[in-house]
Amino acid sequence: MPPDIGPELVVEYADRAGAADEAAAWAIVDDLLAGGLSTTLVFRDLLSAAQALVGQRWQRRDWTVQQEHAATAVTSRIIDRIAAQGPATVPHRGKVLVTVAEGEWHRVAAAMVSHALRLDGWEVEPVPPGTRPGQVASAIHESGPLAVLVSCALPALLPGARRLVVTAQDAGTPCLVGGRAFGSSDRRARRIGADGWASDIVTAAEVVAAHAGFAGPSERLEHASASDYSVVRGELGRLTAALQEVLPQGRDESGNGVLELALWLARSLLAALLCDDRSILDEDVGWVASRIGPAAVTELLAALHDGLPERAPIAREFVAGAA
Amino acid sequence: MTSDTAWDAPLASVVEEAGIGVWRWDPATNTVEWDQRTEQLYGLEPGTFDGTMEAYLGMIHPDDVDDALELIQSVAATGGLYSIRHRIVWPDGAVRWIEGQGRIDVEPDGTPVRGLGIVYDVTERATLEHERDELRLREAAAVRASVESRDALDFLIRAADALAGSLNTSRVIERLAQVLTSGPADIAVVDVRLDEPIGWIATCTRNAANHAQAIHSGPASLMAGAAARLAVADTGADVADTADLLAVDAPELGKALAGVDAAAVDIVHEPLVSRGTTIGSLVAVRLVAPWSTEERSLLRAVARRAAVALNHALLYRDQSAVAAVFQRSMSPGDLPEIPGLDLGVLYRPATELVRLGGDLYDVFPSGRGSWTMAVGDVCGKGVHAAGHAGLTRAALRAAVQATSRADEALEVLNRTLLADSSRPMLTAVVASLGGCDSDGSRRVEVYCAGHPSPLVVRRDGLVEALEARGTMLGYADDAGFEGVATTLQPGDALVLFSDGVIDCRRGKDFFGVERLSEALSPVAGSSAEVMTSAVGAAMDAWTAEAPRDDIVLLAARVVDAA
Repeated sequence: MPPDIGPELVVEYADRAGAADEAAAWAIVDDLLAGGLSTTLVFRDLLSAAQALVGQRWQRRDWTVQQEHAATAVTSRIIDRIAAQGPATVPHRGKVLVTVAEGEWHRVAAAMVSHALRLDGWEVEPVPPGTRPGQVASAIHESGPLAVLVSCALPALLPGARRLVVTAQDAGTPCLVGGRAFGSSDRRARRIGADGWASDIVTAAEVVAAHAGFAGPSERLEHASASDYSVVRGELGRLTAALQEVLPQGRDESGNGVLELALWLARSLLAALLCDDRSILDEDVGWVASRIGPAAVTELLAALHDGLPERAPIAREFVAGAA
Repeated sequence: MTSDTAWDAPLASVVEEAGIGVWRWDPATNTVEWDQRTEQLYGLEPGTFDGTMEAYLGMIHPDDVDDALELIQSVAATGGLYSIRHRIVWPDGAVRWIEGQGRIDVEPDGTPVRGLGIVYDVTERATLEHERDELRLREAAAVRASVESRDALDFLIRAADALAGSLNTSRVIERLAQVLTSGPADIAVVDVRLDEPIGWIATCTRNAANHAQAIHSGPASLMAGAAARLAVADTGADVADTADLLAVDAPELGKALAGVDAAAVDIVHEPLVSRGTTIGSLVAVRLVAPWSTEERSLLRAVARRAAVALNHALLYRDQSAVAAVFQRSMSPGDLPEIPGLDLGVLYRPATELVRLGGDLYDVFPSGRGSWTMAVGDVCGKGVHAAGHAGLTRAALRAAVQATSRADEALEVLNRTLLADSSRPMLTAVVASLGGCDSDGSRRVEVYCAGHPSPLVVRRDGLVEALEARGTMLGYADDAGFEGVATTLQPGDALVLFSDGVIDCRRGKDFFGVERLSEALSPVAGSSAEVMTSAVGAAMDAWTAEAPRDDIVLLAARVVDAA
């Protein structure tokens, strides 16, 4: 009977990783693997769960940026170690490209998926964060993968995932998505036009097997808020300038940049419009409120609302509703 | 083209290989100087171009000459970069397409000072585009003619969509087999044998639910058995014969053929013809109902479209191969492995399609355990600047190794640039990292030439700028460089970066050194890769605007003694 991973173990692992104690963190992983737990389950139930916890702790400011970075660095190295230890597999199922949404730099999930797919017999070509979509297109044409996988952790970056969906499909290749940003159903994935959605690392291999092949060309998004998405995206420069005009530039006494937070909410609004899912904006508004207080948020949302064009009624409604 | 400096040679060879001609215009004398390749591109014998503007204009196709002249005059009036595409007529009457990029520099008062540029032949591409347009028209006509057949129309649209996407040869071949069996064919074989490395066969069958399934695909040499026999099958008997062979090779195909009535099988061969050459064939097999006349013409339309798609893919393959060679010769490549030092780089050219830009970085040994790190920024962007960046990197390496001092090397580079007015100016920062001391520390000396000051990220999170002063290279001959030195303790890191990092924009705001320091401070002591990622992430979180300038950030961390 393989060992079970309970929430206490996840907390224990996250604490050790956050303290940059790689040896101690590895000891937990090593025990689980030695006890017969599969690599993908360790990825899903320990490492992914711990990364989610790390993100929450950072958001709630229970942890410093340093601790968050330390934990992520330890987990990255542990994934590499697991990959190096695993059996050498000969790819026999074709090639897939694994990358992250444009603007996304959380690469731990992509690293885990890559390794899980290699174990499953796929040849994985990794594309690092920061690669422009045009260069992803070149990579697709040059190596001809059977699928492109895009991972996204932050919901506000879903428009960056949409760009890669279009890039892949227009190059005749299915685009499959996964990651925390997509939530717990396939709804957001469908809204951005992805060919498939993996709910977690264990199902990723199944999703790839089911969808690998051909796709495209990409289709226009038809849902009502998608037109507001295009309008606001086109006006983002003007919206930025308007917010820069009315909001204070620097930071308050607890280190919060009001303008920074407002511009982040503008991106979050775009993601909400793209996915026709206002909970994306609501969640980020809640997080901002926890940092600067409800009064300041109301003011900030008013500025955002004022900066939106008349031609985007759903966007205005989303922002008004979040206040 | 006359060669002014020794390091013109590598560029010249790359340019030569890529079939690029180079020209210069001297407004003072109103003479135009062409290299031999340019003469060759215009169908002239070497040395026969007389250098006059009139001679040049006289070679342009009569229908294109007015537009070309207008463009050149307007650029000559204001100065700047331009690109041009027109037809030319060779002395023997042949018509070719020429594309070129050029730059004309003018004085503030509008007097042109110099012009220079490159030209290359794009006849194949232009012809291909022409053929594609024609095909689209014909396809549109075919679509209109078969409007009563909804299925045929759907299929044609699907096929056109399917073949429009990929520029990868094997993917196009597989997609063709797949799209045929998702439409009218029970089995499709696509066999392309243009040359051995891309000989590729794909076969596909469809299942009872009319879905394409089971693609078998591979290099022709590996598919020599049953699939190759299918590719040349002429009769139903040939197809039925292959069933047993396929049962081993490709079970799904074998199953589809098992017990087939050979007399009922109908086979259509369509050659895949492009630019007058047969590059392969398409075999569409019907197991029961024979092909109708309409279906046969549909197959021909698809075959034509497929041949064009394949040709685009072949062209892309060849061009990206050339681009890759150019890129390898110009880009810095992988960072070296240095004992005791941990290196990382963030390199993001502003051009979205090519991973090349005017920013350069380099790390190389400079004797007695010491290493030189450099980041530079050539004025300009894109492939043109990348050419200069690649050469500058090589020249800087040579200068450091020859002088063994960073400041002297910068002076040498400055003189080299001043000696050749066609070279753009550049800013650079060069750091000399000394060998490891007994306590694990390393001494570092930094020189700047009109470049942002590098940062030192101390292990405890303190970020300091090393404010070395010096002038931009290729600007004035009295360049002076004042170095700044410090000691890096284990866990400390040195970060060199180009101005693309701090000039990253969000509306009217710049990212700036302060935000850069704030991004680096929390990851002090972490690996260089973590540091470069932290900066990339901070920039992307700060702005959603696409970068306008090339970005490079090079980090080196002194590793703890084990």
